[in-house]
Amino acid sequence: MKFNKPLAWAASLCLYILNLPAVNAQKVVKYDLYVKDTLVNFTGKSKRAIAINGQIPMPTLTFTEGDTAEIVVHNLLNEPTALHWHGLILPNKEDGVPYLTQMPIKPGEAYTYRFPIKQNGTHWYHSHYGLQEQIGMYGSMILNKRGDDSTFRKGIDDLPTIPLILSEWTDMKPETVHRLLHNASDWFAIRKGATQSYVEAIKQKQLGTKLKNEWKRMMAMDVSDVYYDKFLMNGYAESSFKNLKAGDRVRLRISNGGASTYFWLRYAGGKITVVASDGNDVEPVEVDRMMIAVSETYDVIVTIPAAGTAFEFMATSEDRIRSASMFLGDGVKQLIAPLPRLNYFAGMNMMNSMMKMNGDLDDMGMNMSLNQMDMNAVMYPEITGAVSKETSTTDLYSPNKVSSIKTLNYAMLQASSNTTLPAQAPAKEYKFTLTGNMNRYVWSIDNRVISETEKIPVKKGETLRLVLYNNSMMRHPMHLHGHDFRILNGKGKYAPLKNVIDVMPMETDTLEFRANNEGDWFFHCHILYHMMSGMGRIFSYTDAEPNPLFPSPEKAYQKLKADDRMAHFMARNDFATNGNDGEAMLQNTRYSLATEWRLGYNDMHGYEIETHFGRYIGKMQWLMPFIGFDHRYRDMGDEGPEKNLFGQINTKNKRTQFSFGAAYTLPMLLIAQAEVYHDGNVRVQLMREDIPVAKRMRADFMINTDKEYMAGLSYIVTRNMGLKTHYDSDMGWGIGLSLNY
Amino acid sequence: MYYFFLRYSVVGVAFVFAAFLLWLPSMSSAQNKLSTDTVSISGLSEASKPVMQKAISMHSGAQLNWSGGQGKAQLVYDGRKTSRSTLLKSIALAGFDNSDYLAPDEAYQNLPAALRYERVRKAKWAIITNPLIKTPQAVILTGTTNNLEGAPLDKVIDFYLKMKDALVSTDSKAASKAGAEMLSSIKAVKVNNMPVNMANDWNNNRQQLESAVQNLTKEVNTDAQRQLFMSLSPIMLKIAKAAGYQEPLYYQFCPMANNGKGANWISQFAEIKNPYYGSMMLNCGQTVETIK
Repeated sequence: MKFNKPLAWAASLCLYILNLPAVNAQKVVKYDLYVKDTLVNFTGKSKRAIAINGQIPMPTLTFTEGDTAEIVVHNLLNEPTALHWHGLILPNKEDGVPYLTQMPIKPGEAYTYRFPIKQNGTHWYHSHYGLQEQIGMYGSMILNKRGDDSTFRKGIDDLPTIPLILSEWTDMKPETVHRLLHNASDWFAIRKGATQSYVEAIKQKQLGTKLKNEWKRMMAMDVSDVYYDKFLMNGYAESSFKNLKAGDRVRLRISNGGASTYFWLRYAGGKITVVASDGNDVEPVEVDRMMIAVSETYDVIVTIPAAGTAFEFMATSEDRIRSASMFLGDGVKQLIAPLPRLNYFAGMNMMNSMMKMNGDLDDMGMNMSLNQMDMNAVMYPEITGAVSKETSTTDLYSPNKVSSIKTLNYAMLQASSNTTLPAQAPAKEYKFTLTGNMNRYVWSIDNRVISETEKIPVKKGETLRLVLYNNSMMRHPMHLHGHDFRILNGKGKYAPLKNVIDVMPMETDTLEFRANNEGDWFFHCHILYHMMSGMGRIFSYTDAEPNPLFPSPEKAYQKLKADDRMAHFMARNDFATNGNDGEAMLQNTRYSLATEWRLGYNDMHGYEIETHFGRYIGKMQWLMPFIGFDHRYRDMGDEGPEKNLFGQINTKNKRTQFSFGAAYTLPMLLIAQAEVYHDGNVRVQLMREDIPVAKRMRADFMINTDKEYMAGLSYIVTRNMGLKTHYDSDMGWGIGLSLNY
Repeated sequence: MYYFFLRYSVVGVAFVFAAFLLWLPSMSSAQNKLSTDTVSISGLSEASKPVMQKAISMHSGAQLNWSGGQGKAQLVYDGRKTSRSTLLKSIALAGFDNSDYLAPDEAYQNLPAALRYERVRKAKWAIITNPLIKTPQAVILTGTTNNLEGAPLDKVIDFYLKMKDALVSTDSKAASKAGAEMLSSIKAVKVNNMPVNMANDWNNNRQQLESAVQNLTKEVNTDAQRQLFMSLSPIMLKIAKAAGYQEPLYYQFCPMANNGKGANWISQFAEIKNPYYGSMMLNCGQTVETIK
């Protein structure tokens, strides 16, 4: 990162702070934050990012419990913004969620957040506006304990600390990332080498696995959605912290500020001792490695075991494509081995056995919870390498049972003090099923996105118990604003307090919290692109004082709902020797407006435009009824009109027809489509697009009762360009250049 | 049909052109200005060189030159495309410790036995007990044998190592002084607290050891001290094996010492620091035995 080296360096020097007892805790601590567009260069190309006070990540904000925070945000961007203080328990109007707790801060405006610091621990802050979090708007927020705090822990709270914020960078605009995800682009998979094509399947003797996977209507699976160019720790892919000597113990205050990346954390100098999570103290627990979910924080202690050596602390993205490192200590650098690549076909095989034909997941009676079982472990060579033939399948999913590598899970966390809630309070239980549709990138709770639901009413003083079941194929880090919840993990009175819980596929986790903080609070998946797709709910305290920041709360709420109503556009055209051939599509959670065209170069080939407007039905969205309009023209000379398979006279030569029909996704991802035109003509069609033949090779075909057929083969060169050859019953054989947006 | 072919040829030409444009960047390479860095790498041998070369060759054709010297090699690379740091990291990830990076344990363990080498640094890691984690206390046996008195021969070894370090830095005065201290520690050893085996080994070698050390302390010239140290070290090996020293010890060998006949010494470090040549041949030698 070239633009801000001196600043960042100065900042990293400041990072080394001792937790000294606050002399005068009752004070106002003020920060001025200047939010500004900037250019960064992480990869060799200059790209737009957003910096605060010239820095990415944003400056570390430090307070002591008992302080009053006063943070002035100066918006120097050309777009609105808002900052959310992640994990903080504060008045609702300071929470920083645009259109829910405040109006966005307009360009040119300065806005003051002011709230008392009523807790301690490692937290962070980020933009909650649009996709700004992806391009630099995240930073550490450290709340120190007071020296006279009764919970002050000798050997922990008096250690030197280093705030560490993890993040990721892509040269692609986040809006483009979002659009590609919604258009089922496999460009990210190509970049990751995770296409899982038929040729690769055959090479690895996994053809049966691949066929079964497509039979169950699944596209290639992966543990994460987005390909990133760089992973960063405090803004650097690699950095050093030299001011440590042999025998020193240091506390790392780690926040995962990544928009969609889970990280494996490992240390070359021995074990990692976990002492807090999401800003709440836990009893020290020693592990070899741990996963930090998107938006979680962990405090860990590591030791420098030898002199003259710097030990690598590494954060590897869950997909294991890249990592970021900090070397602790001074001298020759002791490396840690990179994590071996994932065995995708083993994962595919596992998914096949868990996926029912109706798209539900089947945990086969394993009662999974609290990350103790990790189905993905079948893809980890470092775990499966230790597995003997006698290991039962169930044990295979429990990495701590089969391997000597000890991995942290939620069942190992125990609060340092009693966390029980008042027993006499009325309790209310909500069951939420986390749902999703990978193929169309729809993410929801109980199959409803935010805009399709109303706020959930909450009475102050009651106890809320949430039972979360993940019936989707991806893991979701669920985050609650304004409260800490207890994770019921078998530790009884000492259930750990957190504000983020990662729920893996098929897991059921139970949380509870006391409703003691009035206002409207967001509860959502913290994967940025899942949240923007509508995966969340809002808890709203009844009889709360109205938020003074809204002239019209209802209008504001409509604006919030607009996030997941947004339609995503894609277009493609094949400039081929036998004509132009293309489509354009506008889609959102439920609706699709799509136009296909074929434009010939002469009258005999003619032209044809078909438009469909449909609504996806059901959880898996396999069924889509639609209405359509078809316009075509061609001059076949002497040849008369053809008949279709049903004996009806075909209007292929000159047609301007309305239609209605339905499309249905069959096993093997075949799309069957039946359509009736307003003159009574019927057309039934079967097609399949994007068959992953090889890593960059795709095939498609179509056949219908108008005796039309088409087959094509394309090679993906870049994200926007491919080479395509196809044969079309009307237009003949052609070869061309395919461009897409 | 005519139109078809016309179009086809136009599109075809466009294709070839596009392919050419895509290919072009890989062709453009100006005359390289190569950097050469001398680096130290552990485990260099005829057998390991190709493994290291393979590890770095993905970085724009970097070359590893090694002419058989001890632990030193040259990296030749294009500084605009890669860096010394990148190359040495790759070599470490392949399993070879070097001046900038230490290999991950897994990488070292994955090396075929023939390519393994004595790891210098790893031996010096402190075993740190985590004060935050309560582990069951080790059971301390209380019996008639005075185990807590501990290792009665450790002091003798300590002074031997001190003498060795003095010879490494060619300091004859310090060597004599360590010799004198060693002598008095030999005299202070009490056999009655020792286990039987240890006492036997000690009694069998004590005489020889004492006279060798005595001779050494009388010498003021380092060369003469080194000559005597050569005969002292094999005796010390037997003592060290009997002693059960608190830390691992390394019995090391330099084939060039003693006019090409070779000579041994004991060191507390796996890393070679030759006591027979001082700074001239400091790193000559290898570990032949580890005493634990």
